[in-house]
Amino acid sequence: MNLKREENILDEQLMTRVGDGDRTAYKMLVDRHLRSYLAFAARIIGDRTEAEDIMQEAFVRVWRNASQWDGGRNVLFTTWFYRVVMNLCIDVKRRRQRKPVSELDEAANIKSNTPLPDAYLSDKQMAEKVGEALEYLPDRQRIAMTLCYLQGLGNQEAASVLQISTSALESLLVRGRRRMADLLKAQRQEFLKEII
Amino acid sequence: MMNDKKLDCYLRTYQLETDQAPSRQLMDDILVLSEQRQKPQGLAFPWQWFDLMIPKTVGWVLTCFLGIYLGLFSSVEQGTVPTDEEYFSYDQAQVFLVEDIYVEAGDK
Repeated sequence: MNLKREENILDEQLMTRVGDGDRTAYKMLVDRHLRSYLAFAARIIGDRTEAEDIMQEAFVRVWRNASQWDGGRNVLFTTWFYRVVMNLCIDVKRRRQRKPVSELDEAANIKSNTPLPDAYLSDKQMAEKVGEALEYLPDRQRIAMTLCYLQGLGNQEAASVLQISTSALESLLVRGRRRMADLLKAQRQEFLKEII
Repeated sequence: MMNDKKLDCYLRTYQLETDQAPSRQLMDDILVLSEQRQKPQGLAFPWQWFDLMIPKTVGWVLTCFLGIYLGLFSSVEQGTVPTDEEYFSYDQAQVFLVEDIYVEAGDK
């Protein structure tokens, strides 16, 4: 009964309790959100180990900032936390060596009318190809695609995370999808050449 | 170009493949890490109490020095070295007072 009542508490209320030093509330926040935000970080970064480090830092920030959390400022905890994780991911990516743009262009410029070899690809291979294609997208397009198609956020919330208008987000999604389709097609041609 | 339906299918597969449960170890690390980085508060942590006291202590010490300086040195400069005019006025007052005493004594 008590557990059921605890489950219905809003994230923002939990955040206020964390601000008062409530460790149970903090654990509840971690339980609720670690999985989906870890997946988000891994999709943006492309490396699960680094994503785990990012999540540790992100939750330390939750603990530190909880005392300044203002329940009346009309910001959802999830939106705020997506921003925290997103900014940490961008910092990590900036520190990394970037891949040369020419590789991307070469991959995108391969064109062929050969039938698509989806039947040969396992789910794992397909996921790897999508992950590689996501890596090649510009940061904002990748984040927009990840938030909307992989994290299941609505356009309005995703736009709020990126702090842009909904129409700007839709534009990012259209360009991201187009770019990704080109990249995946090019990758499949390479795969086909390998198996033939 | 790849059609939208196929792209959605790819994205869905990627979503399922990358949605893995976090390890127990990570969960524990997160809980422990925030505990370690927590700032200790209250009288149970005297070193932090002293940290908080330093600005107050500096303020009180400066106030005391200022009070002692004003209390001692400014009073010496103003009160203990009378000017010539002050001596003259004091003498005059003494003279008048003595004269009054004599006059009063003579009357009686």
